[in-house]
Order: sequence, then structure tokens, then C-alpha cells
Amino acid sequence: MELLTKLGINWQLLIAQIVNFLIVMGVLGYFLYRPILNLLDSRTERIRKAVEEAKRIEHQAQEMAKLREEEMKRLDRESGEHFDRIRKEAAELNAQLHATAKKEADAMIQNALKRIDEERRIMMEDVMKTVNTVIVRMTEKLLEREFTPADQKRIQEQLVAELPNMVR
Amino acid sequence: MASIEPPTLASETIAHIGSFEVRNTLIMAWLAMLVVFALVFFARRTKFKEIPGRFQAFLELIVEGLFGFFDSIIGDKKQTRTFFPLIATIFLFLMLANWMGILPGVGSITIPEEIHGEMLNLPIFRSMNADVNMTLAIALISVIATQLFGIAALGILPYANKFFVAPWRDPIGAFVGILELIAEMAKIISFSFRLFGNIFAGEVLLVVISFLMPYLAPIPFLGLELFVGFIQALVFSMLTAVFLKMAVTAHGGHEEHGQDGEHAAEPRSLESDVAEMAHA
Repeated sequence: MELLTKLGINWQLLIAQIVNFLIVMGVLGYFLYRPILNLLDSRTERIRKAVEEAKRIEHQAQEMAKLREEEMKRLDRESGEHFDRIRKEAAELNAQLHATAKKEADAMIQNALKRIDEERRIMMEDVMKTVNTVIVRMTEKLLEREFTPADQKRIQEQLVAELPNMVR
Repeated sequence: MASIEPPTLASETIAHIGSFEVRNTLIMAWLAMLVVFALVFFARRTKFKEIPGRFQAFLELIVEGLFGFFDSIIGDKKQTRTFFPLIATIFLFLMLANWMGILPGVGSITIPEEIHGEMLNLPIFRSMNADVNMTLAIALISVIATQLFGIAALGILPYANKFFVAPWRDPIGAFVGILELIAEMAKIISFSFRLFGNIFAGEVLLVVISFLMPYLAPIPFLGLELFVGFIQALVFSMLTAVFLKMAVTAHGGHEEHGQDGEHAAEPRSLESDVAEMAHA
């Protein structure tokens, strides 16, 4: 008892302090802890939802990027194939045109050669005729006589036989 | 030469309301309460907002920090939420009162009072926890709350089995039960005298240092007292949290071997539990 007196323990004061503490606890608990903890809980929940939503959107964006990439690859592949096909067609067309042009050119050359040969032949015939006539006339002049048809024929045959050597 | 008047063990009675003694530590308790109420009033002038202002953010920081700290000890959010008002109030109220105890004027503003025919200068304000009545009050609340929460969580009989075991069934368990019962009583004494001793010693230290080397020399000791005030509040609240957790946790033996207590496992020592909690 003496110790209790020395320490100043007083049951009324003890109860008063207990009541004081309980009041403080009640006030803090009701007006401070509970609203703040509720607020923090709701905020945590909201943040959790926002993070989930952000993750979902990110996932969606990744999916879309993947789809876009795949689409781009497909388009690249298709355009490449298209380009190759066009190039191949162009090469074929080019070759075809070349072949046609060559054929036409060959035909034109053949025609021209034919025409040249024909004209040469005609010209040779004209020349032969003219030369025959000239030769006969000159021989008649030189010999001052008329050749008989048989002579003329013999001379002409002789000249015709020698003419190619002379023309060359 | 000036004489030094060290604080007395008992708090001083400043006034009377009927037979009720209004002591200087009680006045400090009321002042601390006033500060708490002012703080709460200031905080609740407007509704808490989703996007907090500076003051709300400060309060959230304190409450969230404390909740996280105690949750790391208790390890169960639901239980922490249940115990939080008690342990957080113990921490905040004790720390506030401890810090208010070193404010200028506390212990130095006096009124003359005639006691046993002798005129004495009694300090009007004295640190709230430099009075065993206050520390004992909180210790009682802490220990009684521990028992109540334990009973609420486990049921009255399983909880009582912790202390009362039939000696003819389990003599060692019965002896340990008595020890547990004594430990519960000892908690009240250790809680109250640890806090009282630290704060009272701090008061004496400050008075002595102020007397020996006034002005500058007490400053580091004021810092020390701030630290002691914080640590003591922390220790009190942390131990309460640990004891609460222990009280609501079923005994290993009861869970594993049924409720009859026949094969109750040997109870774990208090030290090992505290060490485990502190480690957690």
C-alpha cells in the first residue's frame, strides 16, 4: 500500500485516464482511422481496376500491333508476288515483241533481196538486149555488111556466153 | 546556492472536483486530448477527398504507415483492421503526450500550494506518462483488450484452456498455464513501469541537466527525449500488437489434436513468439 501511495496511484484517476484513452480511441477510430482506411481501400481498389484496365488496353494494343504487322507482311508478300508476276509478264511480252520484230525484219529483208534479184535479172536482160543490139550494129558497121539471121544468132550466142566474164 | 527540486514519483494534485483529484498529469492528458480533437476537427472540416490535400496526405501517410507497420507484425489484414484503432491510438496518443512533456513550461510553470504546512511550488503541467496512473490505465486496456480479443476469436473455453489445465490430465500443462496467467499479470506491470520509468527518468534527467548546465546543454537531451518518447510509444503499441496476435492465434496443440486439451502441445515461450513476430 505504501508503494501505491508513493507512486500516487489513485483509482479515480486511473478510471479517468482509462476513460480519457477510450474517448481518444473512439474519436480517432471513428473520425480518422475508419474514413482514411476506407478511403485507402477504395483508392487501392480503384488503382487495381485502373491497372487491370491499362493492362487490358495494353494487351489489346499489342494484339492490334501484331495484327497490323501480320497484315503488313501479307500485303508485302502479295505485292511482291504481284510485282514478280508483272515483271515476268513484261519479260514475256518483251521477248514476244522481239521475236515478232525479228520475224518481220527477216521477212522484209527476204522481200528486199527477192526484189533486188528480180530487178537485177530484169536489168541484166535489158542490158543484154541493148548490148546485143549494139554489138550487132557495131559489127555490121565494121564489116559493112548485113548479117544473116543465122550469123546474128551465132554472134549473140557467143556474146551471151562471154558476157558474164566481161561484166565481172 | 539554488536548490534543485527533482520531480516526485507521484503526480501533484493541482485542484479538486469534489473528491476527485485533478493532477498535473491529468491536465496534460486533457491537453493531449485537446490536440487530438483539434487535429481531428481540422481534418474533418471537409470530407476526405479522393485526391488529397497536403494535410489529408499527411494524415494518410501516418495512418497508412502505421497500418502497414502493424500489419507486418500481425500478418493478417483483417485482424490488423480490428486491432488498429487500439494499437494506433496507443502509439499516437503516447507519442504525442511524451513529446508534449518536453515542451517549454511543462514542469517549470508552477503554482504555490501549501502541503502539510509547507509551501511548495507545484508544476501545473507534467508529462502525462510520468504518472503510473496513466501508464497503468493503458496497460490495463491493452491487457484486457488482449483477453477480450482472444476470447472473441477462440471462444471462452479454448481460451481459458490456455491458462487452466486439469493437473491430473497434464501436470506440465497445468503448471505452464499458471505461468501464463502470471505472465499476463506481469504484462500489466512491465507495460506500465517500462513507460513510466523511461518518461520519469527523462524528466529527472532534463531537470538535473538544466540545473547543472542551463541553456545549451539540455538541447541534445531534449532530442534524446524526443527519441525516447517515440521509441516507448512504438514499443508499447508493438508489444500490444504482438500480444493481440498471440491471443487470437489458436494454440498449436488445440488445432492439431482437437479441443479436449488432452494432447495439448507444449506452449511456445513468449520470447520465441515475440522474436518470431519481430522477425516477421
